[in-house]
Amino acid sequence: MKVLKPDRKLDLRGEVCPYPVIYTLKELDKMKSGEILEVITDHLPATENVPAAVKKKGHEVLELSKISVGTFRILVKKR
Amino acid sequence: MVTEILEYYKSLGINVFSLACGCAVKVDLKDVVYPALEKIKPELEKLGIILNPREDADIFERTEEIHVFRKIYNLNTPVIDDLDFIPDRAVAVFSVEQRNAFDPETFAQKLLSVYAKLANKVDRLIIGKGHSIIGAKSPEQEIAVLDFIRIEGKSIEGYTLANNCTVRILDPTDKPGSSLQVEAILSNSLNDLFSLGVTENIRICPLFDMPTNELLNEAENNIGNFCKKYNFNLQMTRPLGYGDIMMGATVIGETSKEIPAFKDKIRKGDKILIHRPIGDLAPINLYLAALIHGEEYVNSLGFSLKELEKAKNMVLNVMRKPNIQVAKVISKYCPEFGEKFNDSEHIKETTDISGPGIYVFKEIAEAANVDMRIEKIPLMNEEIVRTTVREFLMPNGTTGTNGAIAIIASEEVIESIYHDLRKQGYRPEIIGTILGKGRGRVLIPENVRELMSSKSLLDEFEVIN
Repeated sequence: MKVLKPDRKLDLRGEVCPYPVIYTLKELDKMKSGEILEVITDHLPATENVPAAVKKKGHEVLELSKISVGTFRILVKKR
Repeated sequence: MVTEILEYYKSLGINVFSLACGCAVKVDLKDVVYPALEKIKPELEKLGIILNPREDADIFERTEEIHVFRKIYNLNTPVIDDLDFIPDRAVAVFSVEQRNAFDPETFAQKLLSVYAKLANKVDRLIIGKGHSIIGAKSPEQEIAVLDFIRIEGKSIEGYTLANNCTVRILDPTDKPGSSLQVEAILSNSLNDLFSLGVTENIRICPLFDMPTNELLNEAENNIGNFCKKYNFNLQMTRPLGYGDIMMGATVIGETSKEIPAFKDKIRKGDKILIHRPIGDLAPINLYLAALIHGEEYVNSLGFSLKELEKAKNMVLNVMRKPNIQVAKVISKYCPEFGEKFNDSEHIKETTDISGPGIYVFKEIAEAANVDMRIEKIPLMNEEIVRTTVREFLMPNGTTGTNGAIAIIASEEVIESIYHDLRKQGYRPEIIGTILGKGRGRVLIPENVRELMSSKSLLDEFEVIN
């Protein structure tokens, strides 16, 4: 399986709603089309909200995976 | 002004936007707290520690005297000294790191670390109410705050109730110890007592912390002013001393009436009323998004920054007023102490809608084994709630702080309560009907899909067209 290398990383551990969505979208605004953003979160609702919010803006969710107990990685490709 | 406040927080080394507003700071009840409690309950009972079933507040015998004293324990290296006196019960606040608030097993170990050791110091102790928050940034800050309660003297007709609640901050564009934040947060702690009609001998034992002496002084003054303004008794306590931002209280009150907890009396045709519209936290969240993203972002959503600021201030002004008049109305419709429940005179059930929003109706329906239909969901600002949810800024746009109180009773009682609340200047609405005995189904109008983005929450309801 191909390992995706992110262009930018956003560690949002410790952040709760509404901030994971806000910071993810803000970071994507700064990126170029086709670049990949890695978001790390330990706030469970963010694993639902962040992918939904970025998809709504037309970006692509490449991966949502658990990297340790309570911590998740979301990979987003900027449209 | 807003810029100045944000700069002020920055100067303290605080990223104010990382402080959860409202109740987002709580450890997840459904998936973490309740399973953890179920897991440790049998073990603790063998040790003499009894965890009360989940209720809005701890309810116990009313006596001539009640004493409260506080102990703070670190969860990772708890040192439990001998207690100053033998307590009858306690209410607890657990503050953990986010990584330990995720799975029931890890969280259960945190609770056990203190309770199991405490069992060596007491023969029997009831933990009447617990509150768990994600408030620690390091293992040193992971703490349990236990307010031990001892009742003394002769019994008095009625009940004593205790509750605790903390919030880190409500409005990050205001100073953390400001009168507005203090009033709204302490009112939120009191709301579970008020929802049960408790208004006598209200006592507030603040649970707070601030990063500077200046902020501590301001918070202390405003706590004192709030108690004076509403004639509440203040049992001043020392700040936690971790230099973090936290505000809340253990609150105690008494009633000479029966408690409005008659779930078994809920019948087909009963009505559901809320004392005011809900959805308080959405305007605050959308305003915060506007500050971070810039005005262009909110303009693209159809709002101006000024408009959002006004909406945010409006909800905060509602939140800062304790719901004591609602409590007095509720008390009026409760049986006298020892008197039997009467369908045509009394309230059957009440609850505070704050944290879980409309999910509270699912909890009531399940606990009472009834099915209900919610016909409308009145909101403080529907457009803002819908936008906040559509932008995925909140999974549940119906949540609040010091929120609305829901009341269930027969139609004639609800009509009468409705008029009493109107006279007090509230905006009550009758929002639903009990369909009869059932499996806890909650039928809800289709627009709920615009008020909640969380699929797991929506799945709890039956959406009707």
